[in-house]
Amino acid sequence: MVHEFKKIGVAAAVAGALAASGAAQALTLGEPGGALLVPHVVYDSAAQFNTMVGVTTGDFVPSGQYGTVSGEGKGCEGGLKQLHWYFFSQKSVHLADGTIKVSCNDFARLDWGYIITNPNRPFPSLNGVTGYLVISSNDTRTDNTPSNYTLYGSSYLIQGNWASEAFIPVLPLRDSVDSSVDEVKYAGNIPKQVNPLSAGMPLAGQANKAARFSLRYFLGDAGLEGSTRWVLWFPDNSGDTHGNGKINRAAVPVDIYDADEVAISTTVKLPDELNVIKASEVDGTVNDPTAHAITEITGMTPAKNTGFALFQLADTSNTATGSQYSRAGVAFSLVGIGGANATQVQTDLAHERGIISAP
Amino acid sequence: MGRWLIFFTFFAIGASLAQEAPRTPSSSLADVKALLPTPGVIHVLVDDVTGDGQSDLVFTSHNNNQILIYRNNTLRRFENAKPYDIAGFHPNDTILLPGNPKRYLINAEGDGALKVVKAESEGGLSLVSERPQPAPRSSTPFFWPGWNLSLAIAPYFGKTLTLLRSFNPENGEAQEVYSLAVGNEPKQVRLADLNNDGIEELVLAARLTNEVWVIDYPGADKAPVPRRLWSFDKGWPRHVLPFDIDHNGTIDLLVPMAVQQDIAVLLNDGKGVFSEGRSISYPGRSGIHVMTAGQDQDGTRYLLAGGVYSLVLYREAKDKPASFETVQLPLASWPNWLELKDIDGDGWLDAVAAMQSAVSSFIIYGPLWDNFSKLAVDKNAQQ
Repeated sequence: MVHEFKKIGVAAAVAGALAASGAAQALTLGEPGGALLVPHVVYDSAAQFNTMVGVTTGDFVPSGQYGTVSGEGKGCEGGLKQLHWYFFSQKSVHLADGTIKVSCNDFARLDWGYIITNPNRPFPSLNGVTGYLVISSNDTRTDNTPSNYTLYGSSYLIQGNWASEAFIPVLPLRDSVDSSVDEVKYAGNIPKQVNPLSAGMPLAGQANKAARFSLRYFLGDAGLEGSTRWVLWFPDNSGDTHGNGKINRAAVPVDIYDADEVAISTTVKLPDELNVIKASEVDGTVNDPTAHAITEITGMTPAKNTGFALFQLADTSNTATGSQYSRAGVAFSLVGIGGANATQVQTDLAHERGIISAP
Repeated sequence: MGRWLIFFTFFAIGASLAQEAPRTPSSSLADVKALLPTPGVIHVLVDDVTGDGQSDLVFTSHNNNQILIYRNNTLRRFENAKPYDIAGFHPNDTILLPGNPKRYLINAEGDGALKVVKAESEGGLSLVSERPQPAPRSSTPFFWPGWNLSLAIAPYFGKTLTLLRSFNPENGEAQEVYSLAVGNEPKQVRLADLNNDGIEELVLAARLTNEVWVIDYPGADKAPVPRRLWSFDKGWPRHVLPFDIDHNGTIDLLVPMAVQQDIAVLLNDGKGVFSEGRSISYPGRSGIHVMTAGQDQDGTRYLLAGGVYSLVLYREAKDKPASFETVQLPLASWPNWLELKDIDGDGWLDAVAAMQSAVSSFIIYGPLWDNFSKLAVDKNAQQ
């Protein structure tokens, strides 16, 4: 069953309190969640991409220590349980879902390539489709029951014939009953609003503010092959309504810095909830400062075609402000290096610089 | 040991540059364009450094921490460039200060200083004075009644413009220092008498807040107070250029946008009250990184704008004021600074581009429209 999947903001008291206090919040990884967001998932047999997702089901945590867990997170007690995974396109269209059997202190492996090619229940149309996964309790699909699990996610992007294994950050989510602290809201038993407020990179949550962060790039040169994809997952597609305004990310202004602090401005399109951008296609990323990577070291190779992109991402055009409009997401670079196709890929998380007055 | 390594580094860079002679792209276009090897430069100053009556070119290499001087000894023949390391780490614009004796000012960002230098007869640059200044990006000299030579200093980043009242280049001292909040990321200050009172105002763009600001002469003994002249919805204005676009004898403002393919036009009613006119489109990619304007000996008015991979010459139509036709040249990189000056003394404006990355900076000689047009159809001459 395929649904149009359109998101609007989800409120969360935890992040709302953070925003209200002005406290900084960075990406939080390693903590448990009642649900999980895997923001970048792809299997492409032609390009030799696959994604491995691991879900560890913990037994319990002390109550109240993790905002993304309901109570002690002991939902796995009592024998066999079921989790549910949901796969969405970059525009957040629900494309597939299924269940996972788990018990306490269990580990479940989702080989995304196998799920797509499984002869018993294949999803051939998903071959080559980039999207994201949400994983939660099978019992919370009506939003009347919280996901009372202690879930930990591990995910890796595989390229080539196991040529590289790049870390994909998995964000814990609070999946409670439909309320102000629910980061996963459902409609028709499918998540319709996902908003990692507790663990994600916060957006501004109010008009005239912007989230400032940078993403690294390395494109290589004649001596060393390189490539970079920027992955940006934020709630809403460009054009969606939020509050009393519309999200507009048709031409997001950015500054592209070289390795010697010289910047040039350009724009990037972020049309979707999940955006994957080739840095080589962004103006200014091909550069040659000609200077030394470290000037004190004679003969060190100049840092060509490398630097970072500085984003100042305005949240929305809406003027309705307050914690109920807060959202958060995640961004990172997939940096390929070496080899003919730069297939050895590693992950570099976005560098967060806080919420500022909108530029 | 470390000092020797640094010395060797500069020496090696200098030696490699000195071996690269200026060149023309092809024999057929020798009179059109001259390539000047530069190691990625952020600014160029056109000035007669040697005092021989010829315009020399002073490039500042932010990346390689150098001042690079191309001396023009005979018509259109430049000596091999000589680099100087007096500017310190990551220097920005180098400008000529008005007055005598002749002094230059380096916005020495990495050293956190303004450095006043002079040209030595044997060709080098020597330090005259130095004063602390947090990360200066550009400085603009100006005079107001009761203010001797003063400086408006834009920062590399931040929100504060600094005014140094009555700055003495010989000792680096100033009578008064004003720190003024002017939006987010104030850019280079330009001078223009916007209200026709005979006193030039300071005008500048604040890029990240999409604003144009003005600082009026405050009176003899009052502190200057910035005022916001204009706010745009978006676009990231990187420059403000005073230019009488409608030929009515008052100075209007051109505001090239860094992330829009537009030059905004602010029309002056003659009393300093502005309204937004029809913008001028930019045919290059992304937006405009740097821009300048000039008027040639035949009265033709030009705009020269550059951005990623493009340099665009605008020529105002003689029979249709404020209407421009364009010639666009492809570039391998982008210019960080542009000048329209008569470099070879033939009376025609020439265009100088200080280029980012290890592609050569260049001069395109006048008559500009003819020569830009030749280059536009000669693929071999393009970079």
